[in-house]
Amino acid sequence: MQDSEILEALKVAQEDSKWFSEKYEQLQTKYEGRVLGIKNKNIVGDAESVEELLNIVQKKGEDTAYLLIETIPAKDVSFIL
Amino acid sequence: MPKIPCSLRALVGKRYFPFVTFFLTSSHINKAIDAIVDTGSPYTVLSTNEILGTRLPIHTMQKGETVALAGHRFFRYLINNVGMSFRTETGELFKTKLSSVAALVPTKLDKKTLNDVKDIPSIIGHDFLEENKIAFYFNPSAKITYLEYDAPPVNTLCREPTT
Repeated sequence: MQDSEILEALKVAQEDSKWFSEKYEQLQTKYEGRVLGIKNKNIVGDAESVEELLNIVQKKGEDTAYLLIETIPAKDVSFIL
Repeated sequence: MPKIPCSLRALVGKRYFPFVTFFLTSSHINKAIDAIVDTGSPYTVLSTNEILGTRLPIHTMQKGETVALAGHRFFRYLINNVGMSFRTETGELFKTKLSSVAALVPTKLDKKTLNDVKDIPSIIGHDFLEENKIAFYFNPSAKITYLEYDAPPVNTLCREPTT
């Protein structure tokens, strides 16, 4: 990939990550326990698993290289990494 | 000093955790990835979800050292010759090349295990920060976090066009 393509993809992904972080609590109510595909500050698909998500977003013609894959854990789950 | 912005996410109990976005390139992967910055982790790793997201055959990746994380056991499968690119706050590309980066491949690949590990994120660890001379600033009460590097990266090749 050309550097200019990477930079453009990163710009979108960075903004999507920031959007997801800011909306996290709001999205948690609706998408608890789901795997989400995010692009251009939109949820372009949600599913039980990554495999299921890929099938959904690829049917919509999304390029998964430019998609942020995020999860929203159940509210009663905590992680100490 | 040049900065790479991170975002803060209230994952657990309204505590904020720092995430950074990068673009991974290798012979088989071109992908935008969000990772938690964890100075307590000795390793930088790609999550199981990210590997599944590439549709690479994960069952052939059950190789390497095993590590325990969040109550699960994983192989550290090494993906060789990778590039990791970050976008700085001034719109430049910060590029690093690594001989390898590890993918977290569960020692069990049944449906229950994959579901149990799906919330474990990719991690930017101590190794990456040290090898690339990157500092990490994290002030959760002021909600400020970023990565910072001392010198311009060798591979700063690209800047966004000014409009």
